[in-house]
Amino acid sequence: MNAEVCPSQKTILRCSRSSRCLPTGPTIWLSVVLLCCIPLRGQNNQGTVTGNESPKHIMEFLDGSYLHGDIQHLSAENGLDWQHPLAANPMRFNLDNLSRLRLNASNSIASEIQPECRFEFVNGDLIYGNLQRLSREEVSLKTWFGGEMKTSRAALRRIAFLKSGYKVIYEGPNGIDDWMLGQGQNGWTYADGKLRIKNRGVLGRNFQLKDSCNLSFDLEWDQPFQLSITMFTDTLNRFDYRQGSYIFFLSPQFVSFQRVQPGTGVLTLGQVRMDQLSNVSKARFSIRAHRETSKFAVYINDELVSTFRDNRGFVAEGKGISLASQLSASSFAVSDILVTEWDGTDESDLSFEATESSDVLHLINQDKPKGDVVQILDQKIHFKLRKERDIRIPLERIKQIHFTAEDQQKPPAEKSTDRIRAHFAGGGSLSFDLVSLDGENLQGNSEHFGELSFTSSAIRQIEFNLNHQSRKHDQAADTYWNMENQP
Amino acid sequence: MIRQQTPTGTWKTSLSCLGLLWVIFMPNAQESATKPPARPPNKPVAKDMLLLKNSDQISGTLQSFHYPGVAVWQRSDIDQPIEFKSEAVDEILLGDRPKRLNIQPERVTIRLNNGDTITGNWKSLGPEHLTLKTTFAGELQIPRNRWQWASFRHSDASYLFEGPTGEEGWTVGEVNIGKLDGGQWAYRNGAFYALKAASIAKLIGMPDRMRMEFDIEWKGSLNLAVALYTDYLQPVSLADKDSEPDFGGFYSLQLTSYAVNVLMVKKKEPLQYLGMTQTPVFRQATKAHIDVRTNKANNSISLLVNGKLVKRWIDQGGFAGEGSGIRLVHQGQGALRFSNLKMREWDGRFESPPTNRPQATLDLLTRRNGDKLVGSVVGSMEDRIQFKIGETITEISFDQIEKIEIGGLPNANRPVFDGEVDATLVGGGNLRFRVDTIDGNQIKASSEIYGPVNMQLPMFERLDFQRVAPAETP
Repeated sequence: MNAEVCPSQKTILRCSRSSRCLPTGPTIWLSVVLLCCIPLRGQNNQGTVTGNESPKHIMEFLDGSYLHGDIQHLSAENGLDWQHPLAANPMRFNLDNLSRLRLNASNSIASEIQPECRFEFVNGDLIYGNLQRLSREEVSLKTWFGGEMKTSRAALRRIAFLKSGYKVIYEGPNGIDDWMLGQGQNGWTYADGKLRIKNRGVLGRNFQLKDSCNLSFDLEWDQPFQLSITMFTDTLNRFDYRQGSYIFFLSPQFVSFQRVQPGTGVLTLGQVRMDQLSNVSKARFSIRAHRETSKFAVYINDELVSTFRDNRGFVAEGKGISLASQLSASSFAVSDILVTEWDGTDESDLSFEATESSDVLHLINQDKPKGDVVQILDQKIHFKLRKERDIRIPLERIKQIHFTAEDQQKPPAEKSTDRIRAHFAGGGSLSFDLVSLDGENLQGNSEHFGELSFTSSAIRQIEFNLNHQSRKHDQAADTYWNMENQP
Repeated sequence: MIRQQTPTGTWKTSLSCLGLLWVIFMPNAQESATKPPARPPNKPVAKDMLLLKNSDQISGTLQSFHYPGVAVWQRSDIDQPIEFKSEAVDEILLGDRPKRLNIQPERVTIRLNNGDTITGNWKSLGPEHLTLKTTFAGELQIPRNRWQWASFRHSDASYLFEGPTGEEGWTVGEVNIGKLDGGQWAYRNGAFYALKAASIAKLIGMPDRMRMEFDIEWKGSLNLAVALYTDYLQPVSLADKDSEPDFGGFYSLQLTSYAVNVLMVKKKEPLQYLGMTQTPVFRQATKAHIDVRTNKANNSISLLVNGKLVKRWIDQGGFAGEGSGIRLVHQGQGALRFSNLKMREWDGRFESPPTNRPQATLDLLTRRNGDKLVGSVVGSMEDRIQFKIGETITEISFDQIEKIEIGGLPNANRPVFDGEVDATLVGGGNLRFRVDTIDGNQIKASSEIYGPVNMQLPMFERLDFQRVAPAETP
């Protein structure tokens, strides 16, 4: 049974915790549905394999192999000890050929920390947390998964201040039972963290949406697809033109956007032709909606495709989202769904290159002063404008700080097989050198943060061999040929 | 260009869109002052692949297999071989292994009433058995009452080219241009695989009258362009062809899930589509046997799919192909497997493939000159068949026979039983047997047709253990 925590409810903490990693308290800010497993040790340590236990993890290899199973132990020194339900004995793999470890069960964590910032690092790491302080040399941040973390300021590329904080509404899918299926023949199924569809079908879920939504998901397809996403609807298992909602139609060539309003009917508010998807079969989509500004946006692979506006205002009041496949010959899968709130910021407004010699602030009035960030303390930024004049600006007036490229550390070449990237529940990732992963903790060493220790339940997946990921497909083309239902 | 009956309505729009998309999205190879460095070809994949019943798959090397028992699997990243329960194995895909080559080409293909199709050389036909000499299993004794047809290939119709046998000699094309996410064909055990846009080409010596066959299998959309009679080994950007390096005219046979077409491509001349035709067979299936027949004398290109003529194109402007090579360009959608490429001279005939004749009471012998004889196969001598027509026994040399179709023998398909595999041979052919053990390169097997038999593992491409029937030994 998956538990999704509403902000107003107290949850039962199911995973082990340390005071550093999981502070508990009466106020619950961040609720996530995790894909992780505790305990990690296989339930069957006997030589005989019955094959009856449901394995909790999925291991993907660079050569295209993948195995369901259970981690018994993972360390840089000894590799991966893996129990497979159909093997007579546990296996031990070295790290050379590992690609991704998916931790596949659900759990929930209570935390009193609501992240208000997004920290982007020069090596690609991304953390949601709160800024404690920043000086010329050091930055200190607080996260729900790692407590207080400090690093050199030179490791930072950007800090974005999230107007309404970072709130995770849903992460999954973890099954299909908590989704409502459309009537009649319906091609939606669930396996290994993916909702798959062959043929037509509708499914939907109540996410208790309120004033905004950022729906992100991975889409993989092997046939032309037409996916319609209906947002802010209360009818989850079919199209309903009697209540207000917004519908995005996605195909490899087009995105189109419609408003459904009772009494008025359906109106197309925009359509955009795309060419990003013409020769690929996988992409990450982000569909966003913001009630206050009646603004909508579509991103593909973090690039803005288009924004739309409803000049009549935001007409929909529903709380759910439904997904529908329109084509009978469709075959695609939706996975890694993350639903968060959205503050309406268009990230393309914020994208600009750091200068060689100056930090740049992006203010809420759209000004972009350049200079030096001296320090941030007590909710104020001490800024040397044009490196000449000292000014102090309240943090609430700042959208983003982009740090000078001059001082940034060059990201290290990812050569070591010990280097992993851990993806956290609710978003964000950190790369560091693996020490070990066992039933309780993931431990590592980071050149930014020093020794790290996270409770395993905070980790959604772990990537290995970071510099080999882009090469694996070609060299294993014949292997991937066989992966009809790759998890 | 032949006037075509234009498709109507939605299909017309769809086909036009497909054509437009094809032109837009054909892989581009831009000429630059410095040619892009040639990509090293992928090494042939020697690894095997084990597919398990829970949908897991793992590459490595099959060390041994015992049924009942375990499949022992070795990989470079494990310290001890893995043992999987043999009944948990769904399929084993075999990588390249050194093969014992047959000095004599195998010239007869036999089809049995259980679906087995095997190729070898005819040794003898007695009252009870047909004896076939095969590379994969030595001599096989086949009960006469299981043999449905035989098809003969002759020394004067030898293949001019057979493959692929590796990437050696093939030129990997550069498709990493612009927004195209280019990849590379990978070779494994007689087949090329592509997941992304990829090009590979070879000059194979296409004759003026050519019959070229190959098998394709796809997942997702089918979108493959096969260049015929090309002298240029890189993919050509159709939109920018006139700024490409010089190339001779060629034809692009375009196979998609919805339609097939042939495009005449020449530098400094407009592109010419010779005519698109719908192909329901590609929409309804995920594999097909392709047979392309060309005749320069009458400017024709014919396409047969699974033995049926789909389209014959005539280039009214004259035969434009100036080279002798083939180029395979996967367009990047879906995944594709290309195998069993065989090319030979074509005698200009469209013969029908052999078929099963369960309703017939007599056998049918078709000669190479098209003559058909109805009678009974009596036996064979060293180099000829004894065929009884009425009361007369005629001896017909094997050299004159195209095929023999036995009458009155229905199919006897049945589900696979535990421990049995449907095995696919490298180069085509399939048979069913029960695996007792696999050790090294040897398969010890037993079959209700062939009896106990030892076979050469390197001659196989795939062992499919899918089970349908309850556990029961025949």
